Amino acid sequence: MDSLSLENHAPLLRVEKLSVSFGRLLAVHDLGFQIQSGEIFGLIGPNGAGKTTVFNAITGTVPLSEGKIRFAETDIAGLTTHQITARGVVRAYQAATIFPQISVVEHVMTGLHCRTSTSVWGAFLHTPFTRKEEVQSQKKVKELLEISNLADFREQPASSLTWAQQKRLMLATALATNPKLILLDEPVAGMNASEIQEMIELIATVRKKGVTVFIIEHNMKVMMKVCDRILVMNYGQKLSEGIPEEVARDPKVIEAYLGYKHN
Amino acid sequence: MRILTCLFLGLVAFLLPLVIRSNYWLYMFTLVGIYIILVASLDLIYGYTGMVSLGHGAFFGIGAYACGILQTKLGFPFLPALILGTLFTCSVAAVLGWPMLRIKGPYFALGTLALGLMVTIVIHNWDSLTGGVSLSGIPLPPVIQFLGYTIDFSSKQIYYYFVLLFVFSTLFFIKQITHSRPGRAFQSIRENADLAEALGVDILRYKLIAYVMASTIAGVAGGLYASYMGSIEPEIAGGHMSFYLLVMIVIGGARTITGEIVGPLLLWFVPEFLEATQVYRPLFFGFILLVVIIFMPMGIAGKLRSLHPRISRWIP
Repeated sequence: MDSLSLENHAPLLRVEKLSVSFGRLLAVHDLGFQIQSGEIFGLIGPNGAGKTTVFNAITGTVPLSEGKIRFAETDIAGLTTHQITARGVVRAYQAATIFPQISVVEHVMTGLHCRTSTSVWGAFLHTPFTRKEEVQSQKKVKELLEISNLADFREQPASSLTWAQQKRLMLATALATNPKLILLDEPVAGMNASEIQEMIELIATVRKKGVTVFIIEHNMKVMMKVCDRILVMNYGQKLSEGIPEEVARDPKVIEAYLGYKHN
Repeated sequence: MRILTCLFLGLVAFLLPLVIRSNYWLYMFTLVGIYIILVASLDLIYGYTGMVSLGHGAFFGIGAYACGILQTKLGFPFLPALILGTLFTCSVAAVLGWPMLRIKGPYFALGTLALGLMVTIVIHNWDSLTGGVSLSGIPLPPVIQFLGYTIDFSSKQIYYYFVLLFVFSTLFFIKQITHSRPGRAFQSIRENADLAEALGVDILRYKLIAYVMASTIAGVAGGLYASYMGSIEPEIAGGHMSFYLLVMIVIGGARTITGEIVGPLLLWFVPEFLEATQVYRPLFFGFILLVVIIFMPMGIAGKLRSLHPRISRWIP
């Protein structure tokens, strides 16, 4: 990877001295890392290491105890989640978190909310602007359904899809918000081999569209394959960081995962 | 297909006064029309945005009293009173909704229940303004000369058409809103508020929009009701009223025009045919509610839609 040349640019996301505590529990402690524009960045660590808390902190769903989060050179800590989404950071949730009763096409359309502006009056009067925006939205949704391989299920309720399809639907909906950075929380959890392959291809397509990807995932094979760089966390702190091969050889990482004792 | 059903229902409603010559039945249908406006507006809050409001009647009462007081105490003519009364209801909903919509689920439901109680108590006790147990002497809209026709609102037919106009507008308005960007925002909040927020929907803002719109429409219904009845009581703002509205939309079927019409029709007329006295009415409501909840959780319209895709295409 040409990560060396990327380092000359300002990072897309810069997390500095991040700490998040719940009462006396320090979920994340003094964590710092940077994600460059265009890369696929992975975050791994044993259960309870604080990975999801990092996502929560970036998307504004938990308050920071300390530290800074800068996205595209602006401070996003303290903004509400929907404001952060509007700036271009979106998250696809871990479990297949979806709008169950909404049809697939409307589901993806909901993701366009922050990039469209039809008001209540516009909707009521069905103004030319509303009609134009609706046509553009339909076009955009069609494209997203095609890349996520869901075009055949347009009118079905989201809950009728399979687990893997629901996760792809969620990814397509997140992409509809037109993000610069997308956070994927365990995108291949609970999938079979062919579904995993399909998701890996989808993530590659996402990157080709110029979206930077930040992944939490337990499946190491997948992480080794898709990530440019990986950050390893344990007990809320950074344990290791680097290209996948380096991280995999790091004795500290092996110890954290397999529980070898230090001599 | 659904549009054809809508046109057919509209035609039936339009031709109804030609078939029904009895003033009593026209009076009843006019009241059902006002209930349809109320239930349809509640559907925005309950069906689309997924918030259980046990205080929708409060805004009906506020609208009715505001219009009534403007006309009886301050001498406003009907139309300015209706407009000002509605604006007043709208602002009350915005001021109350701002803090209330931050609370969720059962807490929100209890908050709205308390709201209904408070409005009733205020109306009851502020008798210098509200007349206490009842506010009477609210005039009908004045006679209008229009293109050589005389429109006299004391005629039951005329008032029926007058209310019908508002019923059509309300149902059309809600259909337009809910099948577009704001409507998708409402529904995303109902389905999963956290996910909606993560996708960039300002959930407090959209809850407030739904709540204020619905309350404003309820205020208009209140204004129409006040002038039609001539006298109003504080109970129209109370818990019973709000509860019946909720029962109507649950039984009819939320998020469907059919449900918004069938609910009020059924719960208004069936007790009439049973010749049940007022005392037994709650019992009847309770029974129907239980049957519907158990056998058709999506209401009558939802049940009809689930029978067959071919039938579903005809149920608006």
